[in-house]
Amino acid sequence: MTAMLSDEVAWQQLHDSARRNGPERALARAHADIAPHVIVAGPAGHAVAPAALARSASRAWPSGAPVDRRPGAVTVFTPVPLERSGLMAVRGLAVPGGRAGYQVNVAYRGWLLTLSWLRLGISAGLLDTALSYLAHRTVAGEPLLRKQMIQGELSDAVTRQLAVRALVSGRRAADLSDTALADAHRQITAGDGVLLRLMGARGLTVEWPGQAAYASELLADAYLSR
Amino acid sequence: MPDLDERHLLLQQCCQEWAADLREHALALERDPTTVSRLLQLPAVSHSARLQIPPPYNPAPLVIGAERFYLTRALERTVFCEAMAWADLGMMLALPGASMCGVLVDVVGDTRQKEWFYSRILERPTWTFFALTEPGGGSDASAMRTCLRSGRDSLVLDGAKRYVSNAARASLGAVFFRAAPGPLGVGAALVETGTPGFAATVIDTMAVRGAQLGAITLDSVQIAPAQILGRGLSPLRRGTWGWLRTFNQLRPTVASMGVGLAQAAHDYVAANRRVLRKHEQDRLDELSRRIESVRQITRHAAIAVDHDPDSAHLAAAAKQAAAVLAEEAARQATGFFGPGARLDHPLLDKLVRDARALEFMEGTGNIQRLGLAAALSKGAVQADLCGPLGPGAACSPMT
Repeated sequence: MTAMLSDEVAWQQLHDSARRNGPERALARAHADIAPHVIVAGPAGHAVAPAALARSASRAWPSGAPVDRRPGAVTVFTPVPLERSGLMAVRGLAVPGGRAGYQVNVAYRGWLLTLSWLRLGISAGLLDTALSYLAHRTVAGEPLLRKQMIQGELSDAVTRQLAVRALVSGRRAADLSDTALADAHRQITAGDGVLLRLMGARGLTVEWPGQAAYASELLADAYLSR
Repeated sequence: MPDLDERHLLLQQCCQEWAADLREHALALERDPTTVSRLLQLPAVSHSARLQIPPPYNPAPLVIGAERFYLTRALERTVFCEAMAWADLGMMLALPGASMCGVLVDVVGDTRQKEWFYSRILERPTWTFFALTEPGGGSDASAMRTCLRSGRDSLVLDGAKRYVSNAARASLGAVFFRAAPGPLGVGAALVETGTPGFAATVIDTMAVRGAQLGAITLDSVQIAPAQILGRGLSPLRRGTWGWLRTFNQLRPTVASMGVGLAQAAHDYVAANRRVLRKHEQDRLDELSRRIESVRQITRHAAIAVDHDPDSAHLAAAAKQAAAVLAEEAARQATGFFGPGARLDHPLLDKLVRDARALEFMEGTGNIQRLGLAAALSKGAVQADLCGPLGPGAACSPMT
């Protein structure tokens, strides 16, 4: 039950899928590579998963416990902005040995590494959209992309993406500490925030990539220990 | 420390009571933005529908004790908006009333326009809009493409606007246009949304969904010359000058919304994490001090603009500081809870998303920075850096 994605080619494919299509398909692939019909539970029993999987999964991972579908045992819900995203949030899944169990779980660290590639893909898609927006949006006849303040912020966001990319490239879960992975996810969230801000009110819309960026934040929220 | 005087404390206490009633409807409004029209009996909603109307036009202001409030002064508005944003930023922006359009009418409208506009507001709870931002050009006046031209029997507006709060539920509002090339060719007109050729649709957003940000199209919308705001003023005064004064008025209120949202994040932690470890308590206390410091500069900015409507730099600094504060406070608040905090605490998740909207209201952070830098190069900021901020150090109305 731990045939998790573990080579860089597969991670890059996941990244590219998320970059082009958002998180749903990439998350389905990441789940399927662990085992069929499993849903990954975060340290407090949360999941953000493709809606079809959230409804049908039979076991939680990494605990291996059956998904208890008695009323009240598992809460399935969707925050309003995710309603048409194809994703669903889940609470109440079984976790192995509480949060402490997660800190020594190398396999779970592999999931966080996989997620970092997936979230980087969403960030790359966000950057694609931001660059296009900034090239076409003008102020006083000049594209925003040529404004020095914009260029500075854009560079900061790209630097964050590059830093995470440098951290995870060529690494396996055993090479990375929990704190390094948590830092990487924080960098992703911070960089995405800059890019969303650079797109003005356009970054606030549900239309791609706003919804994908939000899903990316919820993934970090559900799966990272504090 | 410029504390509120007795009069503003009365207003604050009243607004905080209203806000407590509003808060419980925040998530319902997010799911169904029409909820606000079913809350008209709540004091916050019913009063907001009749406030921000100047004394000559408002026979029934808010009366608390022996004090009368019109909410036409920036300091009064900051007190009101902080409390409403504490309840819910989406709700704050969804409230009926004169709102931003009312400030513009007050600054550049003539007597007849004010009579017409304010009487419409007082007839029944009425939503208004403020249509400045355009697709492709944002709120850059030099790039404005919505145009006013002479038709056969009237004036005609053509163009498109984006990200306009309450566009789809409003009855009337202001549309900014260009009538001629150059900085003197811009203006604004009062437009009724039932006019043929006016259409508004709701944009699906990640945040402040209650405000129903909308897209407006204007397809040969006919208006009368009497609808052009400030038609008796010089082209400069009814255009750029009037807008700048309007934004100077509005920026402290947007800043106060940021303070209110940050306070809501702080209070959510305090209410839901009753027992904090020492380092957590220290973090929460630090956040509290930071909120208070931004609240103070916001009040100073409001007093400054009440004293001098052309005062801009304190408002720019306050708005910038408050937008950053709100985002960071909401995000910090999630750190006080465990994994899945945003899924377990939908109100907290909403605060994180809503805080981002403040960045775009009344100018982005970069616009505020550029404004502040321009004021610095003109020597307008130096006095505030070396002495008491603004026109006075006491938070009482300047007359």
